[in-house]
Parts: sequence; structure tokens; C-alpha cells
Amino acid sequence: VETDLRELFAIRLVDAGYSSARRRYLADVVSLLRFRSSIPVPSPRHLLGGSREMVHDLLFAARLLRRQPGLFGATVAGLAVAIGISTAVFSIMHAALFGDYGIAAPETVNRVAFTGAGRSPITGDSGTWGNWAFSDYVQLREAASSLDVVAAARWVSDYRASATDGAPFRVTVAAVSGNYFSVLGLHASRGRTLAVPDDVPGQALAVVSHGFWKNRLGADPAIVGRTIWLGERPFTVVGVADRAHSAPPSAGSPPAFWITLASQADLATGDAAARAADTRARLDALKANRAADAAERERLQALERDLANPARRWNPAVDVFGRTKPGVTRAQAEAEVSVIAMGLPGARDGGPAASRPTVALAPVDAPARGTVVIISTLATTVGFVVFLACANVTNLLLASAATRRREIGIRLAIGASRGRIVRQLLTESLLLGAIGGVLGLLIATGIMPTFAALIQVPPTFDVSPDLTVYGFVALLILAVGLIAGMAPARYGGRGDLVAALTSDQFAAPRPLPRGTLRSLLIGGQAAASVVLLVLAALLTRSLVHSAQVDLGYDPSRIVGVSIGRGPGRVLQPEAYWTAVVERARQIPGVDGAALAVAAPFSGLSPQLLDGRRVNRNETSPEYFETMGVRLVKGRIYTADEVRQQAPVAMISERLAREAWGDDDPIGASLERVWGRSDAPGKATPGPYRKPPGTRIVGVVSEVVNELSTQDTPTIYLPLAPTSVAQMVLRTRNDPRGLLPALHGAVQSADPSHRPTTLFAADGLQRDLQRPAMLALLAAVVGATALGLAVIGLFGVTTFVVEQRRHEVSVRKALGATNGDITTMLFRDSLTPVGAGLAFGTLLALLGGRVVQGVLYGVGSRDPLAILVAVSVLVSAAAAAILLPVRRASRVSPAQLLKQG
Amino acid sequence: VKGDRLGEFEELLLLSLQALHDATYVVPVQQYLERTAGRPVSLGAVYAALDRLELKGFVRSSMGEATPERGGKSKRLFSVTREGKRMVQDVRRVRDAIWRAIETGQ
Repeated sequence: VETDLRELFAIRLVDAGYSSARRRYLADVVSLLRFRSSIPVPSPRHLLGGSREMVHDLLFAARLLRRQPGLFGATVAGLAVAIGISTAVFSIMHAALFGDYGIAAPETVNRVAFTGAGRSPITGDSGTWGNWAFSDYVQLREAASSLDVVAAARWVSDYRASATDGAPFRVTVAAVSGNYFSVLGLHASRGRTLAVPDDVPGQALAVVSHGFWKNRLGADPAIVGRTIWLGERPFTVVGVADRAHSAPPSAGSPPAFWITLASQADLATGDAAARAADTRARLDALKANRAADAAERERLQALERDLANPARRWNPAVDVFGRTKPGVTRAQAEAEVSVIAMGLPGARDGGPAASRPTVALAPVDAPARGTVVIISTLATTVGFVVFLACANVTNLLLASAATRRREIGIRLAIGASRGRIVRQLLTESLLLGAIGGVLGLLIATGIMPTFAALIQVPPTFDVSPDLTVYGFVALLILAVGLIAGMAPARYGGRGDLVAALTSDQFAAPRPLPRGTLRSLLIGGQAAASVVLLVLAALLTRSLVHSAQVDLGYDPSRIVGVSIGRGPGRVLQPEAYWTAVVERARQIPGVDGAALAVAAPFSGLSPQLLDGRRVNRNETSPEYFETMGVRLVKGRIYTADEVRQQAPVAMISERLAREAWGDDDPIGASLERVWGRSDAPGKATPGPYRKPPGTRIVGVVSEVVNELSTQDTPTIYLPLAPTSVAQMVLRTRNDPRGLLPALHGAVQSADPSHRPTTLFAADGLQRDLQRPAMLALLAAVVGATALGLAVIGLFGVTTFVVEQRRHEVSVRKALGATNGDITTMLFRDSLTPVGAGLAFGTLLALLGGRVVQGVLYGVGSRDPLAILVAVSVLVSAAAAAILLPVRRASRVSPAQLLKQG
Repeated sequence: VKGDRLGEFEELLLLSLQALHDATYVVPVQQYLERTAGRPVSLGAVYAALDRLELKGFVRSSMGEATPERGGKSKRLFSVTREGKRMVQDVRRVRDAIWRAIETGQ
């Protein structure tokens, strides 16, 4: 045939000249291939045409991908999931970390850090403290000439949409000075921002953040002018902050609302005044009681100390930011602020250097150290997942390039340049990347709410994708396309004409570089999969354990009732609670009512006492009977002991076992648990007090207050009058039907009170949600990694086996059976998986400690979890390898030798 | 596959082979066809049609002797079989009958 072609070319050269002869020659090559083989060959017009190359490349790529729907589909799916997860992570990272806060000309805005020394105007204690006090800020504002300073304080408040809305929602609120928005150059997208005239007592105005407005208020267009409730006070919304201003330039999540410092003072002094009045009333009652014993006297002193506490005065710690005036350098401003700080009331000028306040100005746009760590961790994870996906696309394209040498040879034969071939191959990988990217974006949009909830993104973040996120996805696609397409393009671009025309695909396989990189990729994928699968298995086991845990009470019949925070709501006189509890007991269907600092799932966090984590609850004597807690030993403290705040305590069985072993804890001092008690007469009221001489009177069965502390034992102390109590009730049936009656009982004592109820069953459900979500996420990521590994393994094995067909045929001709061949190829392909498996298992064993904190009832080196993960991976890998290997081993030797 | 019928291109090929006095190879056939028919003919088409004709038994091929012009490679020589000759004759008879009918207007 070749000689025929050459001869014809010679004839035509004489007849019609070179270019015509060449054109006809090429056309003949194509005609030969068309008539004599079934391989689809692009018509020369497409390749030489030029103007519509791109479109043709795409169409051709699409046709090719359609020919291998299985492998192609799996690769694209893996890629889509990888891009989807990366995009979701990036969106949150972007919203959380990369916001430029919307500050105008941020280079002139500085955070004014202040370390005070001496007597703190905030707490009244001596020592050093790390914040500006509001009173100091006022002095700074009046004295500073080199910069305009603003102040911002944050705290958490109960948000309600209306006065009658019974379910408060906890939000972060920022109280800012009136000049905050104008000095920082922040705008409102609706309505207006807060201004200096707003910052006066008696005004109650709020600006809502974009994220909160969008996520919680449903982007209500009529929000401006509406009234919302923070704590017990109504605020009028004057505007919605611009989306760019997602966070004030300090660490932490952005606030839901900005209000003025003056209105915050109104809120706080209301609270403080009510508390002070409450304390004073109790103090007077105690003073009137002449027969005061030691305990009573101590309580009296504690109350007096509480009343004198300077924290009762409104002078909060604030963050201070300053915009330097034109022409002023940061150093000049810092020098001036330092001088002003020396003159502040708390500072002891002229004292030792250690007692002087220090001031430092730092630009707000410099990322914090913690931020850098988070970014690099996330970027590494994202990069790794995308890399795995890339490896798969590479494998797919490499395999397809190997089987397409003939096609590439033909393209070269009919005049395609090498560059053109490379471009075609890159088009293919970019097409894969683009399909994966678009699907990935859809996945990201779909999983975003779940994902955001899972890592507890505050509702003030707006994480919906914006232009930057789309840009990120485009960049990912480009990266995947180029990186994944590089190797096959380099390989494919070297196809040669003679091989293409004189032989079939594998007659003379050009030796590929040894598959070290390929083995490493496979091993790495196996290792990553095993780590993630172990994690998923551990979390699932932990979840199952949590769902079955014995709470120590029946959650479907227990309900906690607390009354909202606000002026006069923090502490209630005993008489108030006595009345409420008495009324609640009379409600038909209520089996018991008691008081406790912590009702189940109301957020009791353990204390670290002498190196041991212990829950501390304070209760009335009825608590134990109400909850259905079993008395194991001794007795329950009496109502009289609670009233007198006698130094008695009860402990749970676990603590008795842990701290006393076989000894009898009854009558023992609690110092074995909490170390040294408070000095007599020095006991401060509060959740950390250790009344001297406290003795254990009883041991009771365990109560699980929070799933996260289910293994933590509990000590019970008599409920102190200074502690914030909740009511715990046990009902005969489902407590939900009793809700109106419960509210009635609370409001009969004070009609203005709005109780919040927490059903233990709901709390349990809520507590289970997070481990369930974590387990789900780990399972999804683990499955993705496994899927990617299987796809990659399948692709690589297909490729390698194809490369070894010649060898296989020779072996078979020499007498190897199908089984021999299968075993050989299988063993060779499984080796890198085995290595990766071993490494991954080792990694899981070593790294397990990191997740121990979120595991319950299962060790981080749980053999079952590791066994499950390893066997899942091994069987998936074996299946992925066996398929192409079996196919290769079944080909008859004669057929292969004919091709050779 | 057209069974044992002849396609137009196959018919022309059979005729060309006879015109070239048989035992010829593919290049002269292609050249003859292209010149006589006045249209470009691709080598692939010629090969494919010859393969088909050989399958139908109208053409047989044999390897000729190596010639120096062809780099010492032998040619594949084609000649028309008896069945092939009869087939073109049949086709011609049918055509002639029809042409006569057209010309006499019957």
C-alpha cells in the first residue's frame, strides 16, 4: 500500500504539481483508513480548517468521551464531588476570612491594642488586663489629635422578632460608638447606618448585618423601621449593613446587629440596677434576721461583696480602632496614644516598667496568625482532594492516549502539527474539567447549607456563592484541565506516523517510563481512603453508642423551664420559685417539679477540678426524685440544708468509684475531688465556690446532662440563692401538651415573665444531630476518597494491562493459564494498594488522638473500625483491579500474536 | 454487501481491469478510472472495491514478481475471473436491451 501511495504521488507530481499531489496523497491515506478499518477518523477539513478548530476539538472530545461512558462518568463524578467540596470549603473560608470588612481606605485604619496595668477600671482588680475600658476610651477620644478613634464591644444577647415571640434566639451584638460607621467609611445597603446623634441614652436603634438579614429574616424588604427585641428591650431597625461589611475588624464571627454603646449602657444598667435592687433586698432581709449563724453571716458578706463589685457599674471592655489623620504616620499616632495611656486613671506613671500600660497600633488588614493556620490547613485539604481527582483524570487520559496512538498517528499523517495534537488532548481534559466544575458548583450549592450548619457557621455569614467563588471554580477547572492533561499530552504528542499506519495499536508499545509516579498516586489514594474510612467508621460507632446511651432518666418525660434573661430575671427570690414550683406541681399530668442550675441539655459544662473533669449541679432536694435518679448510698440533702446552705454534697456513682474506689465516700470531705476548699469567710458566691468543710452525704446514679459529657461524673450541691435556677419537671405523658399550663404557672407568679421550655427529648435529638452530621460528613468524604481511589485504580489497571498485552500473549503462548495471568496481573496491581493501606492504617492509628475528643464509647484505635475500613478498601480495590485484569487474561494468544 | 450484484463502481473496475488486459495492479487501475471517468478516485475506494469483488469471486489476485522500481517489493496483481466476465456481459445485455427500447421508442 505504501508503495502504491508513493507511486501515485510520483505520477501526480508530474501531472499536477506538488501541492495537488500532496493533497491527493493525504486524501488517499484517509480513504484507505476509512475503507479498511472501523476506527473513526476525523475528516481532514476539521483538522486543517483552522477557523472552527475549537468547536471541532470540543465536538470530537465529546464524541470520544461518549465512547467510554463508564470510566468517563465515574471520573467526572469524582471530579465533581472534589470540586464541589473544595468550593464549599472555599466559600466559607472566603466569607469568614477574606472579607475586607468593607472599610474605606483600610491602610489608614489601625487596631489600637492596649495592655493596661494597675487597677482595672473594668473589674476593679489589680494586675494587667488586655482591653480598653470604655471610660479610658472616652479619655482617649477627647485627647487624641493624630487619629479618630472608634470603639466596639460585643456580647451575646437574646434576639426575638417581636415582644410576643416566645423563642429567643442567641445572637452576637456589637455595641459601637456613634462615629463607628462614618469613621470606618461603612455603608448601609438599605436605610442608614448609625450616626453620632444616635449615640445617646434613651435611643434604641439597630443596624442589622447583611448575613443575618438574609439568612434569618428572609431578606425582608420592609425591615427598615421594624421593631426587634434584644433581651427585654425593643430596638428600631434603621438599616441593613452592606454585604461587604461582614465582620468588624476583630477576631470572631460577625455580629447580627450593631447598636450604639449608649443603648448598650441602657440595657446593661437596667440589668445591673435590677440585680442590685434584688441583692439589696435580700441583704436587708438577712440583716433583719438576728439569729444569724456562721453560714448566714458568710452569705451576708458574699452578698455585700457582690453589691460592691465594680462590674455592676457600666464600663465594658471595648475594642478600639483609629483612623490616622492625613499626614500622620502610624508611629506618630502610636507615640501620642502611649502618652495619653500614661495619663489614664488606672496607670501608675513612674512606677516599674511592668506596671505601665503599653499601646500598639496594628493595621486592620493584616491577617491574624490563627487565620493563616486555618487557611493553610483548609487549603491543604482542598488541594489534596483536588489533586486526587486530577490524578484520576490524568489516568483516564493517559489510558485513552495509549489506546489512541493510531488515531494520533493518523492525525499527524494528514498534516496535524504536534501542537495541534497537544491542543486537542488539552481540550479533552479541559472539557472533563468543565463538566466536573459545573456539576461541582451545583453540588457545592446543594451541600452548602448542610455544610455551614455542620461546622456551625453563624447565621450572620452570607455564604452563598459570589463572583469570587465562581472565579475560584473557574481556576480549579483550568488547573485540573492543565495539570491532568499535561502527561497524556506529552505522551500523545509523540505519536508516530509509521507505527500508526503499519501496525495495530500494540504491535510495538513504546516503553513508558516506569510507573513510579502512578504507584505513588495509587498508594497515596489508598492511604487517604483508609484514614477517612477509619474516621467514618469511628464516628459511626460513636454515634450508635450515643444514640443508645443510658441517660439515667426518661428524656421523653422531662422538661426544663427557665425564664428569659433581662432586668430582674437573673435572680429570683426563693419565694418566687417556691410559688412557681408549687403551681407547676398542681398541674394535672405533672409528676414532679424541682429546681436545679442545669436541667438536662440546658448547657452544663464540666469544671476541671484538681485535674478531673466534673459536672457541678446545684439542686433542690426534690431534683433526684423528679429526675428518677436512684439513691445508691447515704441520703439526699434536706430542704433545711439547702435553705441554710449547709456544707453537704452528693456525688454520682462514677465519681465515687473513681475517687474512692472501694472506700466508703459517705461522710468524706469533698476536698479529695476539688482540692483545697475556700478559706472560711472568703467563699465567693458563684459556680466555682468550694464551701469549706463540705462532706458527702449521698451517692446517686449517673445523669447525662449533655451527650458531649456523658462520661463525666457529677457533684451536687444545695442550690444557692445567688445561682440562676431552672425548673425541672417530670410529666406522666408527653410533656408537650402541658406547655400552656406551664407558661400559666410561671406567669401567675409574674405576668411579665416569658418562660422558655426545653424538652429533654429535643435536647437529646439536638445533641445527636452534630455527631450524626459529623459521621455523615466523614462517610461522604470517605466514600468520595474511596470512589476516587477505585476509579483511579480501575483506570491505571486498565492502562497497565493494555500495555502488557503483548507480554500476556507471549506468556499464554508459552502455556500460562488464564488463572496464572490473572494472579500475576492482580498481584502486581495490588502491591501499591497494599503499601498505601499499611501506611494509611499507621497514620490512622497515630492520628486517631486528634478525633478522640468527639468520640464517645469507642477508642480512637478501635480495631473493629480499622478492620471495617481496611476490608472495605481491600474489597473495593480488588474489584477495581479484577475487572480489567480478567478481561485482559481472557484474550486468546493467537489474536494478540497476529497483531504483533 | 451487495450479494452477487454489481455496484456501479465495481462494474467500472471490472471493465477497467479487462481494458488493461488483466493481471495489473492497483495504481494503473486507479489512473485509468480517474482519466476515463473524469472524476477523482481515491486509492482506498479502489482497494475496498477490489476486496469486495474478490470476495464475490469476480476478481482474483496474486502476488507478482518483485520489481526494482518498487523498492524490491512485489505487487498484488488483479485479474477478472470467468464469473466476473460473465457478470459484466449480463449487465451489458440488460443495458443494451433497455437502450434499444429507448431508441426505438417502444
